[in-house]
Amino acid sequence: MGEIFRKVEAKNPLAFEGERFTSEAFGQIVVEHMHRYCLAREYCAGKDVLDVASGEGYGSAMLAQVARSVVGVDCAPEAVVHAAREFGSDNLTYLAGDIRKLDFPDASFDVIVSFETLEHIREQNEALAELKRVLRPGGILIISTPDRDVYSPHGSVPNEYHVLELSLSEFTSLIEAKFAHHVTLQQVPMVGSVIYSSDHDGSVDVTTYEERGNQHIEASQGVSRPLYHVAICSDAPISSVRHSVYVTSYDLERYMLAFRDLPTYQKWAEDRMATLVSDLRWAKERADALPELQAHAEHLERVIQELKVSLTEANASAKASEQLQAGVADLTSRLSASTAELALVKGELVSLAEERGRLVSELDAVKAEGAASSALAVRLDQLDQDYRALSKERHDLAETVAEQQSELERLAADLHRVEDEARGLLADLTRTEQEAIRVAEALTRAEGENQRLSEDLEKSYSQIARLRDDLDDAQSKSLGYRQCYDALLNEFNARQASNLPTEHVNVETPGVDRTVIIAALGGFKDKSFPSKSRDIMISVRRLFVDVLSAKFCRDRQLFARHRSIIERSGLFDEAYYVANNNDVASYPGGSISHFIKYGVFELRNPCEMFDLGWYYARNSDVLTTGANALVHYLEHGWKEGRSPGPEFDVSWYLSRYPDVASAGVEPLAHFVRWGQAEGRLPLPTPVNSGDVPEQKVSRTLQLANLGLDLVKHDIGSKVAFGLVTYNNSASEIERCLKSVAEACKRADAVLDCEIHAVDNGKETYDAAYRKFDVRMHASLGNVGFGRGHNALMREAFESGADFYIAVNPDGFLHYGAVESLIRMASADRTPALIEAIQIPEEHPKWYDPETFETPWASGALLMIPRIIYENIGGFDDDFFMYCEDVDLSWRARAAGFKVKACPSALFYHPVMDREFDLQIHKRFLRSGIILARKWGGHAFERSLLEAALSHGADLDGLQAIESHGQTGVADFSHSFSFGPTRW
Amino acid sequence: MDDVKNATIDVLVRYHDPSRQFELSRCAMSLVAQSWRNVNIIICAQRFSDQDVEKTASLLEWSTGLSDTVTFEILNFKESEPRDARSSLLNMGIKHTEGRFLALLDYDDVIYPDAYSMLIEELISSDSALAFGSVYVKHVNAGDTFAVQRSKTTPFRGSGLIDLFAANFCPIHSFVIDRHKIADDQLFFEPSLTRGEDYDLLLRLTSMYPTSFEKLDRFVGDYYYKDDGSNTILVESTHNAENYKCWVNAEEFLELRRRTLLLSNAVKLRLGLGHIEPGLSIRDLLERKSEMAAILPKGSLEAV
Repeated sequence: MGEIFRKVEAKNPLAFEGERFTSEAFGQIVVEHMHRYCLAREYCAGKDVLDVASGEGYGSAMLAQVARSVVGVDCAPEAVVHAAREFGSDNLTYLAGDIRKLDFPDASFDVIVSFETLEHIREQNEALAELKRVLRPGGILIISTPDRDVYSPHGSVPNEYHVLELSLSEFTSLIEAKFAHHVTLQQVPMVGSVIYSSDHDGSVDVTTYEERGNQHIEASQGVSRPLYHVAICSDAPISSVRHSVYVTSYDLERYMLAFRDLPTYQKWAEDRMATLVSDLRWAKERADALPELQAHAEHLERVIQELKVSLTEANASAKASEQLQAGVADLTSRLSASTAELALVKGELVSLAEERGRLVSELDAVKAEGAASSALAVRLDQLDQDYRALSKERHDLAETVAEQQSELERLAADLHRVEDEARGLLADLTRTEQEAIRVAEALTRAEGENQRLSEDLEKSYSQIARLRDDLDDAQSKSLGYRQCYDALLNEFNARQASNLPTEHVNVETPGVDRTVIIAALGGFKDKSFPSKSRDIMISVRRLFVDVLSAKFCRDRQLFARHRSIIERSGLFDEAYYVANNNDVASYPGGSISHFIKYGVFELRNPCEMFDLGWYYARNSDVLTTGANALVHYLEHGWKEGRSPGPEFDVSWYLSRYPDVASAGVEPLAHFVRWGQAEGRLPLPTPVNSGDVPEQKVSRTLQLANLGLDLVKHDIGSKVAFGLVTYNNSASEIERCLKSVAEACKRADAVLDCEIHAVDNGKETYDAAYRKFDVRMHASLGNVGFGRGHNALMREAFESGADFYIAVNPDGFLHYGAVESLIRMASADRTPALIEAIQIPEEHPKWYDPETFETPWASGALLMIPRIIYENIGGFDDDFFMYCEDVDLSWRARAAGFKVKACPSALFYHPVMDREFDLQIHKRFLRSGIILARKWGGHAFERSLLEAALSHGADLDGLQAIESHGQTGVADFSHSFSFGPTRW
Repeated sequence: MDDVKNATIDVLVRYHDPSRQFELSRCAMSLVAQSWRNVNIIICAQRFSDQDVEKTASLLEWSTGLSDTVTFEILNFKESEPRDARSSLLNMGIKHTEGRFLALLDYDDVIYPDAYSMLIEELISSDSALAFGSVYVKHVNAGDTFAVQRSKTTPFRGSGLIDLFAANFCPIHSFVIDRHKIADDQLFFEPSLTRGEDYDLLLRLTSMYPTSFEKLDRFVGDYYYKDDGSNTILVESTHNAENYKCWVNAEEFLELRRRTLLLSNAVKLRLGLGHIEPGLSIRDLLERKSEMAAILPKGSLEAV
């Protein structure tokens, strides 16, 4: 073993800015500088040494480990100050100075070291002279400079810090001019292999400096610990074998980076473990506290029970108080009545006294006159008796009043007492209520706390269990990643050794369990994946990913290119990314930077519609090269028809929207920016479409089936319209009739036209009917929609009509509707019931976009050809309203006719947003039951019967409905749509 | 209120291709069936020949003949520039009309019968300058004289003003404007825009005047998306990179609007922001809405 000495690094390194080497630098430059100082150190033992251009000072410090004294000189004062602070010691000082004029006496140093300095100045001769001046006689100068021919070949970007680089011959000439002797050495920084020829004892004349851990270097004579032995054997003499060196400088920095970061991740993983342990401890503490809290909750429960009893007592007291108050009120009322009566008696008494006075006066007058009159005497006696009686009555009343006053006083005293008592009880009650509220709140809080603690405890237990599982899982996966990592490294080394390209290391190296990688990629996507476990996996996985994609993290050019591509694409939704990743907001480099460095490998999607996991899963070539999926998609994927996720189909979008294809723009960005707002679709089938997939259609067939290529003389027909009205407004009727007349007037196909009408309601619309020459039929009463039309239809066909068109009077026709219906009828040899399309809201039931055939036609505007009527008749009279059109359609189809929807015939019929009407609903149910019974929809019938019974619908007469049985045309599997729907 | 009930709503209908009469007639049917009485249809035609104008008039005579209260006029934009005159067409219509209420339509879209009644009632009851409803998108396989509807979707997703500031989810037929509430010089479409001109108008008006989104839960019409791509193209031959450039330019322009348009006090009050944040631009609001929501009373910023 050779000498092991400390590798010097600054605790607070100066920033590495690209030229002056500092401890912050990494990669190739480290190797170069360390090697030179190791070499110089060999010459410095016990010497006075000058290190010119000492920079951060670490080199001088290495020399000072063996020298008697070392002075480091640098032209940058801040570097000198920093070096003195970091490394200054008894035998090591740093000074500011210039190699061209050193502030030292002649012959001051035994050894002078100056690495990578000469090329920074033009006055190189003067500098060498100055170095020689301060060098003691026989002293040694060790100096280095880059070889211009290798370092700056023609066409390379010049180093802006170098003012004059030298070739080997120029360097040698410069030295020879100043020194009598010199040995020139060449330095090649490398990753590689040395094969050397040694003596029998294995020695070779070379010194090896080998890093021993992060902090030491070992200097050995010979090549230390050769890993392999190579023999060249022969029975003949073998000529001497030259030492050989195999060099590769490719991506030395990548290795350095990968290895340099490992301790960081190790530290991170340890921190995570410490956090987990702390979480575990916290959970246990919470669990321990639970019994105490439960006891407290039970205590509170008891207090509440006691308070509830108090509350009941208080309520009883309050009730007694109320009763007393009622008694007081009654007495007060009685007292008022007695007092009023007393006042009345007093008044009477006063008037009697006045009368008595008057009579006494009168008596006195009579007496005075001396003419006593027996009659008057009798009267006087009478009056005396009255007076006595009244006096007695007054006396009695006075006694009564006194008694009542006494009673009143007693009651008033009682009242005061009761009021005092009631006030006391109310105060008690208030206090009790407040206490009860306080206790109830405390109980609620305690219950909440209890609940929370229970939940916490439960969560903690499950978390502990999950964490243990995750830990085991992560540890086992960690081993897997380690294997991946080792395998990658091996493959990388092997490829380099074989001069194979190593830009894309294939993850699918034999022996590497690819499922581990897929699991790692997929695992983060799975929301059920425990977050802590995910964190562990992420950390472990980063060990793997960072090696695989170190270029994304460290290669500034590549990073900048990715950033530029992503920024320009419009596919990185920063708000979405931040909202979905809580940790990103605090990431100092910004969300795009986070995405490029980490997010993409952790399957954090850049926007709602780009699914990284989906993309990787479907494009294994992207996964195995470790490429950024978003960048791959933007640069290559969409052009190759690869879709960014399940919700967007690139190929379909470009073929469906040729303007986008010819503009040459990336389609997803187009959709997000504009297409969506313009109503374009991301996929062939709309998200909320019905159960019929979209199909390609032939325009030629469409036109042919619409009869648009027919000439007039082929299609001339006699048409009859039928309106069954029921309390419609006059304006509605007139608008409808106007539209019918206009549509007939503009229809080349109509040879003759008549309008029939019947009123099932109260109104008649004579004026409008006369205006449009309507044949009014006698009303049959409110007999229903179908029966009304049947009456009109019968007469229309008897009058020679080719077609009967049933028109709902609350709508109106497009001017081309009649022409379109007749053209469609004429285009097909098979007669068909044909409905117009209703706007603004058409029925979602499916119809074939080429043949326009449909399972059933609505009766809102329905054209019935004579031949169908003659074969199957009109509407079934059993239906009062609703479903009669479905029944007619199925009967027509069962008889071999067709049913069609005509998209060029429009009928405005506003049936949207109608409020629920129970009567209508009941009719609907009844009609549905009739239809189901007729056509064998037993399950449908049963479900409707239940609803009908619960709504009280009229079900009389249903038993008589005749069943057709199953005919193959009826469809009850789509409820009241009676067929597949388009949305 | 009687004055309001008798007020006229002018409906500007952009119509650039005289061969698409079927779609225009469908649109006209939906207008003559409006429950709002006084509807004035203004057809804003783009460089039509006299014959095409006559043909269009005949169609409108048929449709308005079905109603006693619906009238129509045809305005023909004849200038050679701008080539894509989508904004100019509407500006021409705005200048020409004086009705209290204003609505916009494209010739191939449809409005529901109670749409204008409902939105006008909302304008009055909420004292707003604009009231919005929702629209369906109907995907159709379209021909000159027919349309096969394939699906019905609701891709326009947003719940109020903040969402509108972030992205346009309100097609031009989803709202009605009360012109009494808006200065005449504010009511125009940016002529330089050939994409997003309607959104530009909405950004300007809704940042300045109170707006109601109460009726977003009601659907007021249909936006027909046709498989021949004719919805987005008002001029011939735009299947090229120039088209793409228009989109990009529009987006940049609209972002500039977001950064320079300041919210009026009236709008801030309705958002629950009171008079705080003087000089608050649309972009400021979008970037700081979370921060603001945290300090404002609950429900602020969600009220509209």
